[in-house]
Amino acid sequence: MRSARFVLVRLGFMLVTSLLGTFFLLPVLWLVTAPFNAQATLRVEWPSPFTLQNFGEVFRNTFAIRALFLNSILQAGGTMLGTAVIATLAAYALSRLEIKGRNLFVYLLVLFSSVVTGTAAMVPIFLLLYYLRLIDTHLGVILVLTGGLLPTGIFLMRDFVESMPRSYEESALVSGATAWQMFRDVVLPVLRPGMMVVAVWAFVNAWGNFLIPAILIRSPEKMPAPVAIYSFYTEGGTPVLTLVSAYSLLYALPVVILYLFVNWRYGFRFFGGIKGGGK
Amino acid sequence: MKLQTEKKKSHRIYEAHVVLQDLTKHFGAVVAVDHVDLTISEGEFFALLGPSGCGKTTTLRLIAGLEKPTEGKIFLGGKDVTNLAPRERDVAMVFQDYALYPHMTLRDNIGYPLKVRGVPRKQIYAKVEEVARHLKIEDLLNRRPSQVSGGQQQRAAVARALVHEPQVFLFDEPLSNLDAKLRLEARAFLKHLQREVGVTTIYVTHDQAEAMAMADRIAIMFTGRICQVGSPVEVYRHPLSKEVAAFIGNPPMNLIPGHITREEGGHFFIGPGFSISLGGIPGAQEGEVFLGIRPEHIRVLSEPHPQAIPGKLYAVQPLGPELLITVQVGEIPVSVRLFTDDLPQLEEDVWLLPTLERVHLFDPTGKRLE
Repeated sequence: MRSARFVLVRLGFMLVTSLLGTFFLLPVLWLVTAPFNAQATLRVEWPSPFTLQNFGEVFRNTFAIRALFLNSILQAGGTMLGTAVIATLAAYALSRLEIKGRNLFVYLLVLFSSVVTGTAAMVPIFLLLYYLRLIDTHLGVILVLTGGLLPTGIFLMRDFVESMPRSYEESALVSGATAWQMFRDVVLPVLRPGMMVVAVWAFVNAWGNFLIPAILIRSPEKMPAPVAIYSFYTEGGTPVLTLVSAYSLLYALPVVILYLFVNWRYGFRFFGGIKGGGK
Repeated sequence: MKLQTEKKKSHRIYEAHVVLQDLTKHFGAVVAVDHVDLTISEGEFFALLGPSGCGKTTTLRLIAGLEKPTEGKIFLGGKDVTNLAPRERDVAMVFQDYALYPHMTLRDNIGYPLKVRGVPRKQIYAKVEEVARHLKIEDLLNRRPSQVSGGQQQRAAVARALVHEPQVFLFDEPLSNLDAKLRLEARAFLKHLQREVGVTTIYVTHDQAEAMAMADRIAIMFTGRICQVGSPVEVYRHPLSKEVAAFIGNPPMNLIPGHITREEGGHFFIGPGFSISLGGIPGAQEGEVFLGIRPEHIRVLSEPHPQAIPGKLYAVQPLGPELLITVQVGEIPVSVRLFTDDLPQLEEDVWLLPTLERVHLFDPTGKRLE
């Protein structure tokens, strides 16, 4: 009796996970097949006739290619750098300095972080950047995205800092290191895996962000890929599936490569209460 | 071993090498270190001993400069270092967890104190090789801390402390992460090394056996205060308080509450269900007392004796070269150590005969009576 029930439960479990897996796998399958299909539709099908023509056409669209390989890299890269560096410094300070109410401070930050980059804050953000003369600049986009990602970034980094024994720093100080030497030689290398996690996470977030650059960037030559993808739509507003899929595949590659590189070089680690749930 | 340079030898003019004056540290409302005065001599191996939370590690961290004292002063080699940063104090510290940097090889770990002092790389490596050879870890220098054993990590941490020839070594329970067998080895190793290098050493431990085995002098701390300072033999033979008596020795000193009356023939100790003559032992005066007697200063008899304490046999533990016997005297368990490997034939009723010259008396507040 019990074994029959066990088998049924297992079967049910497998069925549900297979259904869920298929649901998430289908778009990915489409993404890797459609670009090579001369007559791509929204269905997942083996490319026939097989062609690389779509990529050729995409590369002839200099606006879209510049958006992907220059503007998106600049904006996402800048956001990645800003978020990783500032989050590390802030998390270190918040973990090591005795500041009253620092826990409350961190939780408030995380709570309101979603508001900052959300649609609701768009008008004040636009006005702020207008007065700072940062509308239509890469720096403006980078600052807004970094500001939105920092609270969660600090929260993630704080776990890494807290898991580092204080005796590392103390031993460096007693060994004769200045505060800066201690930070450079001991703290930063120990925190590097954490910085990598935050960096990749920030890059992916900035890479996929449409709203912020769509509102803040005015001139076409500064638009990033998520905005530029609309250049593969017809004037009537329908996507040209062959080109959209080819461009999307190119658009997905840097993130995959970055992830594989960091995973190979440093390995992803999550500490404390956010094991595996950080991304 | 020529680890000491000429510069270091000039420190020998200071008789008192480490001086703590009225040292006090508060953490909020908690008084971790309470008006501590200590003088430690050049080249001395000095142990700070006490239960966890007694302030011994805080005292060490104050000396290292990792904490700022609330009150008081610290002198190292005759110089007031109270307000100096750790790196200006010329001390080296071995941490309980060794604090070896996981991303560096043992070579870079050991060489780090020289690197931050701007010593050229060639000289660093030469010095690291020399120290590592001395500590027998020269084959492990290219490994990371996670790739060597606990005992080897400990040696690497000691090597890092040794490499820049500090004025003072600070050890914070460096053996507590080792297993029992390695710990005994490491004790001998550290003691030998300290004698050889001759650097003033302050060693924090909660293990009384470790402190007794290694130190020239021991300071025993309770609740932030130093209760007694003395050589291992002094604190063992002549504890100044009941707390110290109960902390030193394994098993600790037996303490039997009772009172002393004066009758014909001298003073008598009246304990739970018995009375023995104290003869003319010093400190005997009428009133409530604790009678202290170490487990090794008691003989076990199988027949009544006028000077013996009657009790019930509770347990016999053969430990190899010795026997540990527990006897219930009234409600109080009394430990007895017999240096024999023959199991004695004992009935349930036994009589304990204390060696009177080795009896200690403490007043109800715990102060030694003499």
